[in-house]
Amino acid sequence: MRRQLRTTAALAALLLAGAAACDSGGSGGSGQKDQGASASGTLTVWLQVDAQSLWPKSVAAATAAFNQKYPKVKVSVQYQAWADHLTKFDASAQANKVPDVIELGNSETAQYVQAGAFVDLTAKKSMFDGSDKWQKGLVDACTNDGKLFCVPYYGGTRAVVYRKDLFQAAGIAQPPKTWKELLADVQKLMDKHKSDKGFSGFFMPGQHPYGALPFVYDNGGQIATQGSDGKWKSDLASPAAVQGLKNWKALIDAGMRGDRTGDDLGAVPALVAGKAAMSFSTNGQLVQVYSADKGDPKLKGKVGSFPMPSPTKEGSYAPPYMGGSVLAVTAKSKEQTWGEEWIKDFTSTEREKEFLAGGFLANTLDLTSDDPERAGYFVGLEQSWNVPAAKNWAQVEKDLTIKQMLADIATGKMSVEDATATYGKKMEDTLNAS
Amino acid sequence: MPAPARSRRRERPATGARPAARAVWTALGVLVIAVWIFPVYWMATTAFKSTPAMEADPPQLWPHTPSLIHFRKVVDDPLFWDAVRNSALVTGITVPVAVLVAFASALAIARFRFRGRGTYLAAVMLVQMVPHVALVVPIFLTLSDVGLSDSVPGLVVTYLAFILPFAVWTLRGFVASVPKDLEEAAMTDGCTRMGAFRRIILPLTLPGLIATSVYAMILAWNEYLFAYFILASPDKYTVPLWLTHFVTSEGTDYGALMAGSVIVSTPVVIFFMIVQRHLAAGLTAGAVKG
Amino acid sequence: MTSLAPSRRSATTAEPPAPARRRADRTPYVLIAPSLVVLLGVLAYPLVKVVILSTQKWGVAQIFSASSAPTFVGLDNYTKLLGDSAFWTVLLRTVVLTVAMVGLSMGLGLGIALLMRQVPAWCRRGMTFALVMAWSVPTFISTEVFHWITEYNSGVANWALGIQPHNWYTDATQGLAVATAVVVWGAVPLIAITLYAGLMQIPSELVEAARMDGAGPWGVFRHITLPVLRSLLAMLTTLSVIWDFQVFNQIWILRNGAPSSDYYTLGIYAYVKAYAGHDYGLASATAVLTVVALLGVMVVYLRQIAKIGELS
Repeated sequence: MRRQLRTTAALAALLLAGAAACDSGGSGGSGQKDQGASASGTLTVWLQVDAQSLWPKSVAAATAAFNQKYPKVKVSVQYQAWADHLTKFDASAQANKVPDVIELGNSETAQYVQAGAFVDLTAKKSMFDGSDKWQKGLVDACTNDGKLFCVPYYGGTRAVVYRKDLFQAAGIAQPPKTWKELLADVQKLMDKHKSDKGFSGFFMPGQHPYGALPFVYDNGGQIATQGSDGKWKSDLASPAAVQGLKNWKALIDAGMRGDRTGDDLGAVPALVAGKAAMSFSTNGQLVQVYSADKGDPKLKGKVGSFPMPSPTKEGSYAPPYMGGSVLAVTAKSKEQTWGEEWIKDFTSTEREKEFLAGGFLANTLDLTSDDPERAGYFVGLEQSWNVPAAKNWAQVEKDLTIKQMLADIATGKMSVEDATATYGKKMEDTLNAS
Repeated sequence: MPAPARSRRRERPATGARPAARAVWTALGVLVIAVWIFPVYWMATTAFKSTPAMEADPPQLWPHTPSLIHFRKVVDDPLFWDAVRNSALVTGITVPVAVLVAFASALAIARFRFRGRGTYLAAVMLVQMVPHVALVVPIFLTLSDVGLSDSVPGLVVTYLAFILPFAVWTLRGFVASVPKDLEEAAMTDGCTRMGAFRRIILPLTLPGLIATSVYAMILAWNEYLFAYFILASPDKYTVPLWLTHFVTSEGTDYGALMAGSVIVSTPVVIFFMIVQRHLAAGLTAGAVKG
Repeated sequence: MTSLAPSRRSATTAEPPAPARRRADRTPYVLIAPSLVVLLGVLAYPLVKVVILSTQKWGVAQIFSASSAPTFVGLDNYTKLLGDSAFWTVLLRTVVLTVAMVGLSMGLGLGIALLMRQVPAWCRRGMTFALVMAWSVPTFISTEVFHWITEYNSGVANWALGIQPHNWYTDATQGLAVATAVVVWGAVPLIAITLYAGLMQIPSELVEAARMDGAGPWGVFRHITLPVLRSLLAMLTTLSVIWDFQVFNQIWILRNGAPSSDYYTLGIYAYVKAYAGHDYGLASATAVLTVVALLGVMVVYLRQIAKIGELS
């Protein structure tokens, strides 16, 4: 046995030596110097699968525009799944095969920006359309020490999506404007559907951080704050945040009869099936409700949106979370100029309008839709908030701290006070880990 | 070969059990069919349902108004057919190579005494104990160092490494249980070693070869994690990679996902249905001798 | 070493004709060479790398730094894991789940394989068809289907049981029972079909002869079936233990990619704890500990396996 092990180890060492000897040169291409129309090579772009499903034509149009300038450069767009794309990015960096351009969710950027994975675009900012009026929530995700490391791609917020027909049937003429009205309407809907044990007046599951946390911000709380020593401190257990989450829980108790341990992706099927009258969902999800493949075309015109009323300030709205995606040029890329040019073409005002039409927000706030159905998505954006700009925030998201806390609150497994204290401590540890 | 197998089945129905016992066995068999087919049935019927029908309460046990919208979405995508072609290529190479390589090793282990045999068998198993998620990045780095990342051969050798343990072990068992005297008898009857192999070992281990190739086929056809890391260019994507584009941050397109799964499961089942009657081949071969 | 080799050769050449023997000596090595090349080529470097990484700090900060060099941290990753009380809870849960999953899938798999010999041909064909159908569906799809079947409001399981609405997942014991069912459902086809193929090797004459000698069904099973299947059973059990110990997908998908901590198995724990933070050093340490734990669970068993290898 021991001899066998040694042989194996020796073989492995041989292989290791071989691996080290032939350190490959990375992606081909003609290098940085050769620019302009005669340049040839390949530009590799990683986009998330959403682009493949939602706006493949915009991707093609951007590449076409890019090829006007660089006819001999082949653009290879490779679509990535959300689950493992960053691990794959890490692996590609170790193999010196990084993509030249990469898309990240705006809550995923901090660690990469701080590690120096992306090219500093500060000096080139003005070349991108709308760069003087980019959305704050997206620019913040790209900024470190006042420098810009990525370009906002699209944004997304949530609003209350509602079934007009169910509202009418319950005798509700107008969507609610205040928190009190909202709770009253939920009650009316629940009374109307008393016999259906699975009906939710308001579909609000536990694993829905961006459904719950707006209530924290609404009441003046935050997720975490950074002290002058650079250490992060949980604010979830503060009285303001606790009360905010209690307001959220009140809405669940009033209207949620779906799976409280579930996530917000269950909202669309529930709305389509008439198992829910309202949900706190993205614009893309609203569109799905009446789409032919994921919803019911008969519901076209029967869904609308309105901003979530604030439980604390009459006539105001719970501040929405600004999600979205950004595009960066990788520092290890050999084709950085091409990368910048392609991003410029992909985030042109024309393309941004297509993202808007596709059910998202553009990277600037002046592009809005006049579609009444989408009304709820363009209100209160100036008070939108973003996740803490901590290097480890993505880890907090992925290690499920927030989702577990909210699910435990939603199911009543833990009181708001206990849950925020327990999970807040865990979050603090993660945020401050080296 | 099929003919004797079939006649044999008829002549020996259920090893001479009493009718009452047979009814119980058959009932149990039907129960097994129901339990294993129901989720697949549910998947397949869902592919024919519109979203409201999927969510209907009470559930629709069959699609009341069958719709082909999800299937159309799948088959109308040219990338889907690219993926099918790539998967067919990867699987088509992986299965025969895996079976050949494993069979050779199995013969060595079952029919020869040599040093390190037990260690080899245990080591093959040991290698399987390391979680795949921990191996995927280093494997990608290895392949990319030798220029095999983003290539079909790279994917094939990776699959081989994960098919071999099961394949070697299974086939070793099958070869080992072929009585040695049968082989020797054939050799004294004038067969060469090759001849004995062809007439005795091969037919008697055929069931094992089939079980192994089905295993290899399903692994190569359905594998996702390694394919995702090793392949980069979309034109090389295999079917499981293509399927995941229905899973977006805004929700999953279940109808299309299920329709795609129904389509991609079909070749596996057809393959098995073609080869399955050879699962009984061992019996036939035994009969030749008896 | 040098003195040993020739004496050995002279000892063996004593019996059979020398040339044939020498050829036979080389044949097995030629035969296993291809599989060795594949296994070593694909896995040797990764295995060594995992061990090395487990003593390093290797994450986003190191990968993208100018030097992209890992930091050596000794056994820090291990002490971090072993010092986490949650790790031990997770380990225990993983072992219990593995025992349940392997026991059920092996039991059912063997039962179904034996049953397939007892039923009429049409039923047997139906069974193989159903099993292969189930086997051919990728895990992530079949788990989605089970997720759906057990859905709170509109799941067909709740409807059929008349317990609508029912949440299978608020209580982890119930949720893990569903996960076990999904794993077993997915594992049985491979086991049953492989064992059935193994059963096909038993000459029916042998069974008849045993019957005539007065052996009952149990006797036939013990003295004829079991010996033939022994090595297949050992191999399938070992692989099942290895696979089920690392169960991830089924639980992950049933819980929408966000299981609460009472659902954590070693695989999920590693993913959440290490991969979420891109901490590949810690991830590798969990991989090494997984192997150690598996070896611990199977130490007796592996010896048995090595013996089977030596015996045949």
